[in-house]
This record gives sequence, C-alpha cells and structure tokens, in this order.
Amino acid sequence: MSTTYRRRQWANNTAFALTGLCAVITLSVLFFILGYVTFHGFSSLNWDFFTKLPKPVGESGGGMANAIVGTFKLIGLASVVGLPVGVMGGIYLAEYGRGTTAGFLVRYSADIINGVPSIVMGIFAYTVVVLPMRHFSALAGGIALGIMLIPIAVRSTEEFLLLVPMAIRESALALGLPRWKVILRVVIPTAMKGLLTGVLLDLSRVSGETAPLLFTAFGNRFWSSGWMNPISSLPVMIFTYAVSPYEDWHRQAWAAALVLLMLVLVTNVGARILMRNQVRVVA
Amino acid sequence: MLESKSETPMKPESTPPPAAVETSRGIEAIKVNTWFGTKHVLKDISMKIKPREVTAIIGPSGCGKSTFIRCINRMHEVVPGARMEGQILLDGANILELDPVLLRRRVGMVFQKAQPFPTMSIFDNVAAGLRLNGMRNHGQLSSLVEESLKRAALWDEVKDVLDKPGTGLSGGQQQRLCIARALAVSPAILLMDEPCSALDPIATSKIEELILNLKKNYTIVIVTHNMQQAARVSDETAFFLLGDLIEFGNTKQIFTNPRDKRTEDYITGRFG
Repeated sequence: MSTTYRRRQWANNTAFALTGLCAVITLSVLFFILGYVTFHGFSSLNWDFFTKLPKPVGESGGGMANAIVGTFKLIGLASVVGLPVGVMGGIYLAEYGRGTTAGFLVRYSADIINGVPSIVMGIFAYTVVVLPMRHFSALAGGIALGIMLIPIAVRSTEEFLLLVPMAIRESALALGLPRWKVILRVVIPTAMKGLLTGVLLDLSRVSGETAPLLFTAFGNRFWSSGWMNPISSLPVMIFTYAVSPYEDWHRQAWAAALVLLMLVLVTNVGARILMRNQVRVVA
Repeated sequence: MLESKSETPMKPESTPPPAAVETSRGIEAIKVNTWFGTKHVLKDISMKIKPREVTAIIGPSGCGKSTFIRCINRMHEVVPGARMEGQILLDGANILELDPVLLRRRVGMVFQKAQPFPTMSIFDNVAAGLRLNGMRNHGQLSSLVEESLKRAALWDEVKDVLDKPGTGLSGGQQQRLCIARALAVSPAILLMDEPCSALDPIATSKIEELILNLKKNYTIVIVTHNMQQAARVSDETAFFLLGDLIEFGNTKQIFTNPRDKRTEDYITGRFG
C-alpha cells in the first residue's frame, strides 16, 4: 500500500518538476531576449533617434523618426484595409455562421490565409499594387499588412463574440428585436472591450511584420509624403541596419528593436488593462 | 448586492391597479410537432390556453415542455435544425404567418437564468425593449420603466439606484428585473421557462405572488419542474411526457384526481 503511495508521490513530484522546468525555460527565453535587446538598445536610445532622419551612409548619428512615423502610418492603412472586413467576418462567423457550411468555409479559409508565409503576402501585394504602379509605395505596404490583418481580426473578433452567452441573445430576441439590432446594440456592446483588445493585439502582431514590407513599402531615407511614395518602417530598418557593415548602424538597429519591442509590450499591457474592465458574463 | 438587509415581505402594490394591457383571446396549439434535426421532440400537441389565466406545464426533464413554449414565440427557430409542423394560433392568427419580431413583442418570455444585459443600468435594461424599438422620449421611457418595475414588484427596491448596473442585484431581483424588462413592451402573453429554478425559496415565493398578481392582466404560461409550484400558482396544468401531452385540465383536478395513470405516477413521485 505504502509503496504504491510513495511511487505515486514520486511520479507527482517528477511531473511537477519537469513541467515547472519547462515553464522556467520558456520564461527565461523571454526574459533573455528582453534583457538582451534592452541592454544593447537602451544605450543607443537618445532624443536624436526619435526626431532625426537617417544620416547618409557612412556618417554616424541621425535617427529613425521617419521609420517610427512610417510604422504607425502603415498600421493605420492596414487597419482601414483589414479591420472592417476582418471584424465583419468575425461577426458573421459568431452570429450567423455557427454550424453552417458557409461558416466552416470562411473559418477554414481564414485559418489557411493565416498560415501563408508573410513573404507570399508581400509578393501578392507586389504583383497587384507595385507592378501596375511601377513604384514602391506606402499604399502597397498598407495593403499587404491589411490583407494579413484580415484573418487575424476575423478569428479574434469571433473568439470574443463567442464569449457572449446565448442567453443574452435569446433575451434580446424575446423582447421583439430584429436580429441585426440584437447583434449591433446588445451583443457587440457586451463584448466591446474584448473586441477592442483583440484589435489592439492584432495590430501589434502585424506591426512587426517585415517580409511583406521588403518589396512593397520598400524603405525611405527621408520623410515619405502621401501614400504613393515608398515609406520607411521600423522592422525594415532593423533588417537593413543589422546586416550592414557599420557599427553605428548596428547600435541603431538595436535601439529600433527595443522601440518595436516596447510598442508591442505597451500594447499588450494596455490590452490587459482593458480586458480587466471587460464585462465577463458567466453563462 | 443592492438588496436591503431586511427583506420586506411583499405587500400588494399600494398604487392603483395597472391599466389593462392588450388582452388576447388565448393561444391554441393544433397538432404541433417539432423536430431538432431528426429528433422528434414534440408529438401532436393540441391544447387551448385560456386568456388571463396561469397555465402550468409540468413533466420530467426532456419531455419537451421548454420546447413547446419556445414554439409559441418562435424562439425555437433560433436553434439551427429546428422545424415545427402544425399550427399555433394566437387570437386566431397562425403565428407562422406573423412577423416573428412583432410576434415576440406580443408574447414575452422570461428565462430560467435571469440575464440582465450586462452593459446596461437597471433603467436601461427595462427600457431596452422600448428604446431599441425606437422610443426616444425620455419622459415616456421613465414612466413606462417605473410602471413595469412596479408591476414586477421591484420598484421600491431599485427606485433610488436605477443607474446602477443590472448585474449588481441579487438573483431574485435580477429575475424580477427580467420580468419588468419583458413587461415593458406590453405583451399580452408572458411565457416563463422555469423562472424560479435558480432562486432560493424566499425569492421564489415573491415571484409566485407576482405571477398571481400579473394574471389579472396577462395570460401566463409557466414551465416548471416543481409540481408544488404548479399546484400553487396555476389554474390549468398540462402534463408532458417524452414529447406527448398526456393530460391537460384544471389544476385542482389534475392534482387530486388525475385521469391518466402516468400523470398519477408522476405526481405521486413514482418517477421523475
């Protein structure tokens, strides 16, 4: 009797130790990356970085102001291209498409597009926007990111809408409200904070995509005006600077990596704070 | 919790009796059959529900009672794969020919688990059916909300906290809030699907008293798995078993002198 008990104890402890070890390894990878980037990037962060344009090749100094603005500009355009379609698609899946064949197809397609390598998205946007226009542009970059955003937004919207229990929809329908009003005026407001959180997280994911921007937005060492010119962005700058032979550029690449990381971190923390206020309905 | 520490025993509202709402000639079900996919849930249900009376539907779990009342306001259509054959007449009109949205304004429903809209205050919850159907006048909304809360015997407890979220109330209060919300759109008929099964006995007795009060102006159909509750509140009782309507008649008669042996077995607790 006691040998089985001791054996069970041993098995319990081993399992706990192993899983705990894996958790520690995961966390330490995360903290290692954070620490490494912060260590290398923090010393290169200065006011110039945020306000100045890149200096000519070979000269030291300058900054990445245009890349920071460019990243925001591209995310903005991606939102306009991808969020309406993505969010409406998510609403369709959660409200009309449950259990239907059409719903299954939409969900499956979204998952497949999600799995397509981002560089293929870049090639797609290149073929569809850059080639006809005959030059790189912020428009092409925004479209590439926007298409990537669609399936992500669909899934996150659907996920948060599914959290709203059926009882709420039924109560609203039983009051004699048409279905679209139930969705628009009852279900979506109930899930609103979750939906916003989802959108924030989706945008932060897309903000770090490099491959689709390589030959759509391409890059720009100056301020990019309008939407028809190539535009700089943080991920592409990191790529360009990191593989260069200049020490100063390497330092700036670290700084850019830190800024990008901080952007993602702040977005995630903001999303968490938002979610804490989200109405959580126990079905 | 917004409930006052000492629960005041419910007294009849000291306000003048509520104005008569649109009354109906009752509901008639004619050979109603319902399928969920291939599963035949209701079999040839035919019964007449009298206006301004409480009709209880009793029966063991899974016998189709909830399905039946959901057919009355066409809520069964919300479930994919649901199909109904037969007729349900509301004041002589076939409900399948009516606009479901308008039908549901005439036939209100209260569910088992009270579900106030979480993003809305108590006032907004009760006003939801009115506001979302286009009523804008705040004065009109206020008076209708007050009237509905009074009819649901909740006004005294919440009149000072109307802007607090609906989810801050106790279970019994939330259910009365849902009843007020359903009453606000002035239905003629109120369907109640096991409204007290999630409530403690005190809250339950308050709602039962409320039902007895409401039947002066509304036709009420209540599904309950609690036979004593059916005996307490209803005028007529229907006994369902495995999708069939076994017996339907005057409550006193069903509980003291049932005609069918299966009814007697259920009522005396030989199965359940």
